[in-house]
Amino acid sequence: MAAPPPELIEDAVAEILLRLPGEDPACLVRASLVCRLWRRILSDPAFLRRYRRFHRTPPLLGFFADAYRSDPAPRFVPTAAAASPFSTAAFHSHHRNWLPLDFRHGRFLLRQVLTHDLLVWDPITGDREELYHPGIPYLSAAVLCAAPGCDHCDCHGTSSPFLVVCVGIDDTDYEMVDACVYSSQVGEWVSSASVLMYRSDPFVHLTRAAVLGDEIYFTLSPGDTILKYDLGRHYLTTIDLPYLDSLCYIVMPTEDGLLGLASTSESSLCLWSRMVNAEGAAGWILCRELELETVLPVDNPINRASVIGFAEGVNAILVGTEFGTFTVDLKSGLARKLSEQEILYPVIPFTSFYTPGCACSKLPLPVETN
Amino acid sequence: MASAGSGDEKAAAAAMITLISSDNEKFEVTEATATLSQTIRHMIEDGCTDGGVPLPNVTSKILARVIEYCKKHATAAAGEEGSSSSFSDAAFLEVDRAFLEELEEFDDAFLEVDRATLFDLILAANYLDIKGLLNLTCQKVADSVKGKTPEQIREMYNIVNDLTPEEEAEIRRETQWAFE
Repeated sequence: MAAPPPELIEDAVAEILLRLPGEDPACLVRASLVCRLWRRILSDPAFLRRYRRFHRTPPLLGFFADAYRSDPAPRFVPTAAAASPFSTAAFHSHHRNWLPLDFRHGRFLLRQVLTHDLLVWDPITGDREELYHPGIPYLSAAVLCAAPGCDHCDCHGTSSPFLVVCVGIDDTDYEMVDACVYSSQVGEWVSSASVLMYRSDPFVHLTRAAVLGDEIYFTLSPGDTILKYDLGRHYLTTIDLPYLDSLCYIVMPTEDGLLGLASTSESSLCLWSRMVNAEGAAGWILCRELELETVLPVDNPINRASVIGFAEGVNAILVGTEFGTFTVDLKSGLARKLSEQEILYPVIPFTSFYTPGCACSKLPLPVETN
Repeated sequence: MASAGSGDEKAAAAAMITLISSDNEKFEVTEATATLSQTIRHMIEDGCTDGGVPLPNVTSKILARVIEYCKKHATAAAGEEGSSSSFSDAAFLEVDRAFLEELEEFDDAFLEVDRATLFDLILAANYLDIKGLLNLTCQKVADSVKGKTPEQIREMYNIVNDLTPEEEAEIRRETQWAFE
């Protein structure tokens, strides 16, 4: 029999543990039960910082389904690949009256079902900050990090600055769309803007907003327009959409830093980018079409397919079909099954690092305070 | 004593480094091979390599393997420098790709060792600060740990469980989800 492996020094053990896969948090937790040394390394907050730097992109741990529909209640769906510390039950027992509106830069934005108050919550640190009502009957909202020069790989908590942007329809003039911005540094709603829609029934389509630098894009329904809020100039404008076969679409930042749009046409995934031509005019270009029946690991023809989300950083589109929910990696073109469930409505992807250092878990949160 | 011989010979001699293993075996390697180790690179920069570099933490068996890795990857680094000049036509890209594939095959074959040797290589790579080798060997262990229980990991790598049964039970209770 071969000689037993020698004992490793702490540095070498840390180098190994650093390379455990982020998309499987259970693997890190099980490793923390091997011995004291492994446990100490994995539980150290310094290890979490190092782990984030090493892996850079927080992995997709799950998503909220049905968040934009009042019935049924939103469900947290952990990715099928791994056991998740963020179980459906943990999220639900204490979130009954809070609907998630967005997750970005390490923070959830939730809306109180009855009062429509807003809550920013970090599921890793447990930090929470309640915001009073923005004063407009908002329909959609986005949360984003406001720390200057941040690469958003490691944004956390409510002590570092964040912004919340809400959009909604003016209840005195249905042709007006209003937006307002909350700054955590100021501690109040700091600016607002309006735009005239020239239509009888614009309403903000509830899908996750896209953030590109200083610009935040919200989708509108019926879907031939999207809304752009410029944070620098506090200015709201509308952008026309290309003709889309499906009512279900999402906006997202592309890898080139452009505004992207994903939708389906029959069983194809269509990816558009907003580009500026030589004359300076902006327009939508259909950049890529992926045949889902070839890409997804399914044997039968796909009758129902919807783009339901975009996981930033991971750079993957979430696609719902009658055969389950999948991610399509935009770089490799490879697909992975997330869940067996058929989900054809927009979801909120949840990406995060999770090491046993986080296991002094602040879940379940948030609790009702009034 | 002043060394005899031409300037060229001197340069060639200066470019060779002697590494001395814990069991006192001597290995002659080129500076390009040796400097894949940051530890040795710093020693060369500080001019402390005359009379050989003693490596009391590395046995001859492991040092031979480490040198095998460094030789191959030093050649790769030199090849990369050569081809990344002004040439970027398809032929050069083709050569690059073939070379990278060969390097990958080399790495795969290099990792075909028993667990004890793998751990010895990690310790050597850590001590000598050879980034590529440390990454390769640590990733291999990390991959082998995926999907394993704590008991299986301990058994695989001869790790003594020094947690008390009470501590272990408490951690399991707190993180039950990870064991389902």
